[in-house]
Amino acid sequence: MNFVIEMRRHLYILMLFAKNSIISQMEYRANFVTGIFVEAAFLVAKLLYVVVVYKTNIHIDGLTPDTILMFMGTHILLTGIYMGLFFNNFQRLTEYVRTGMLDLMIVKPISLQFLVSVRHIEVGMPIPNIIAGSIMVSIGWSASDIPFTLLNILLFIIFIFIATILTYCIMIIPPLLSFWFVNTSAASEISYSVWDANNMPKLIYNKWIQRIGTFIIPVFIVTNYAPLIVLHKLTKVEMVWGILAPLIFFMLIRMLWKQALKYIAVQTCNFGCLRKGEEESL
Amino acid sequence: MKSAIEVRHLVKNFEYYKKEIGMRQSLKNLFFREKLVKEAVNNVSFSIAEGEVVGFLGPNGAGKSTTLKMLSGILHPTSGSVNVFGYTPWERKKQFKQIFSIVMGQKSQLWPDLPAGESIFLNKCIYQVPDADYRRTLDELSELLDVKELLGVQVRRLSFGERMKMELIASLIHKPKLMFLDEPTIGLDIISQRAVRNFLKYYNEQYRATVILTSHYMRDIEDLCPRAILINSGTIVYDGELKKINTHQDEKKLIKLHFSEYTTLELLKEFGDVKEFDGFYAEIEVKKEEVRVSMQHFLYRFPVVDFTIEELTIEEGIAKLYRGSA
Amino acid sequence: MTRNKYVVAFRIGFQSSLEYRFNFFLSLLSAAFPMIVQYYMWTAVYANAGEKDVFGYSYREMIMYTILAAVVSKLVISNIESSIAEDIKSGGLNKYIIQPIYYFGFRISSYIGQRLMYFTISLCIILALTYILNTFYSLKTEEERILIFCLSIILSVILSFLISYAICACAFWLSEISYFFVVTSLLINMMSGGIFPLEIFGERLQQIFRLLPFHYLIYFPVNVLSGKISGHQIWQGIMGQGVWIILLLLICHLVWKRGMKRYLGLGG
Repeated sequence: MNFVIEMRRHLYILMLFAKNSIISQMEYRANFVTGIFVEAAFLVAKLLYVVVVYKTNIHIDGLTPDTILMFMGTHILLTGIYMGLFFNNFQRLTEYVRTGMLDLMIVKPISLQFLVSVRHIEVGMPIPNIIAGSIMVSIGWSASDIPFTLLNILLFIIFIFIATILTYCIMIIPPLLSFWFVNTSAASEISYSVWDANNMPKLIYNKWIQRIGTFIIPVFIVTNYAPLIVLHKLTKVEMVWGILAPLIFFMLIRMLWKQALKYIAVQTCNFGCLRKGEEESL
Repeated sequence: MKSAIEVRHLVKNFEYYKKEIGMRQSLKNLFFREKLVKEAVNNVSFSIAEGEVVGFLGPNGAGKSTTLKMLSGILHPTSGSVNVFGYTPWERKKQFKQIFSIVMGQKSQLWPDLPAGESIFLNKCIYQVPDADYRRTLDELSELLDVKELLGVQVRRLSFGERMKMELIASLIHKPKLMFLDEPTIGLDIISQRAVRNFLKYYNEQYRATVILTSHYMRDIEDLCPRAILINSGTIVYDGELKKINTHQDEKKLIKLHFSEYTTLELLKEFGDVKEFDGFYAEIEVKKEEVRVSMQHFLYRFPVVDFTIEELTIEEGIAKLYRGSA
Repeated sequence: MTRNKYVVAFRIGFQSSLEYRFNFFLSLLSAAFPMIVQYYMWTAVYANAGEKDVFGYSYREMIMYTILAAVVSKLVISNIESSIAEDIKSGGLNKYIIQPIYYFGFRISSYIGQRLMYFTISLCIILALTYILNTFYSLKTEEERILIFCLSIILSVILSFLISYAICACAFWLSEISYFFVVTSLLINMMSGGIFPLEIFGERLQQIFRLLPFHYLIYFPVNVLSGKISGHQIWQGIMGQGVWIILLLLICHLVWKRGMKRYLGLGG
């Protein structure tokens, strides 16, 4: 019962965050438009891969370019979801640690991880990716002759949801590192390039890379499992793992989060002062 | 009186890396960095009663903020114990978070692009304040601070003073019985400073809220805090009534003299500490028992046209304590 | 001891690059991922195509291009736009107007300081990779070619700095620029051949790209090293780099002069 009440409270606050974010962003229409513009540019860079796939008429393990397009579409769709829900928050997380804003949030009687993870929702930036991704998935879907049944759609959506949780778990790692290290831009850079590397079906890689990307850093689940399940190419074992993985990795991230919090509570004076001020003066 | 806060032998050490200057050193730092320890708070003990207003004073980096952060649970101490209304702060229990709030003059919890009312409402939801209580508190606080009609204005369009008032409402919407205020009047004009002070005084008296305040403005402390705790280099150098800071030290008075002719500094020095001197005006600190004798000499030997004898200011007393303890 | 101010700027840049050692090592790693994807992608492509050339590249040439381009693009792309734009926006330029130090000189010295480490290490990596690929595919890169590559890569770095410096001047006119540079650097990377060889864009777009300076940044030096470009084309390319450097110096001078006028007009 208590759990249900807490759940509803958090959902309500999440809605407030969303509302506040939208109102805030509407204040800066120019930023809103440039955000869309930037993401569109990144999208163009990704579409170069689509050009190569079609121009070379590549076949991967029986997947035609059309089916591959569906994988790429899933990747781009999730990039959009990531940009919308998490990107802005994760960028700010580093900032909160650096400026000490985290102090003001840590004293609030609500889960701090919840507060910093979803406080700002981005409206403009995800638009190009979500539209392009959806279109690519639809084209790939129909060209691959996948039956358009309710079950298939439901399965696809469930696996997109699983992918969203895993995206959160993977992409929060670099900003979490900023609790320990002052500058983590390189770690973020790596996570972005790992993310971008995920735009091809995992079948093109060798066995070992596939295993690492599925079981250790589960990026491959994000892009591959949703198309694979509607293509009936997901094995039983993979299906079970697909459901377990988000639970396991979310718990791991929860533990890492607690460690990070413990670290700053023990280590820093006021996040900025020792790291920046004192270092300079000493 | 029931005690609200009990602090026993609180210690906080920080580790940091030594940074050396120069090309060779930075290359060396690439592979090896020397670890250093700084004692930010060193064996601090005090207790604060419920409903008390206490001023935390100390120069920059003395350990004021660090102590506040341990009291509010943001930081773990290295050793020692803190009891705040029966809670250990750094366990960060939800019930504990409900009873206090923290206001930092340099950090804002308000969303800059939204009306302040939205941020206050968000806090209402986070602190789970019932609707009726929320409306009553919001009415009362905004009335008192005279910002009722500004609740619908975007925060970034408000003046600094108005913003701080909104900040206060947002942090008090759940009626905390304990408040930590870290430089709440920084950057405000004199009128806003006074408004904030009056409000804090009212809030303390009305709700018997315990308040801990740090500020660089002596007026804040003098107006609000009957009791002061002075911290320097991580240790408490004074804990007691603010007014008695001076009597605590060797008793001195300040004699101010105006001369009609140019006078030399050398002659004045034998009477006491010359604080200020420009040839025609001097301020001299003189021991209380010597005031009479010194005055006779001044009037007799110097072309004095006007004089006053004053108590040392509290600021002067505080500065002395810092110097004494450093 | 007399200290040249440019030397000081160089030192500061160099030290700041060493400051974050953790970052420094990790950023070398991030270049590897696009390489891996493209390696496997091209392997799959050529598995279908058989022995045929794709976009005019043999399998070995394509892999070589992919790997070298990834490292070269890390080495060449400058990333100075945001800090210069910050100087323009926040009034940080003021102190360079008062101090007798040319902003351009200050920037280029601090840039060289910042990138020296990266440059040296990346160059070693490139040479090591070339050696490994050569042994792996039993090819041979003549020493002469390596020397020309080193020359062209130095020219690329200068060219890249100048392009960035010219683009930075946009900050004098545009109000919101932080996003702008993300787009420009992405477009430049694409048009330089940093993602894929320019051949994938088709004949017509390629013709346009050849008129722009960007392909001299990555596409040209990489193909010099891989042997795709040879003979008199090499010297033509080097000449092209030189001509563009002079042109860009001129462009930088002109736009910054106009920009400064505007800056002072607003500031004073």
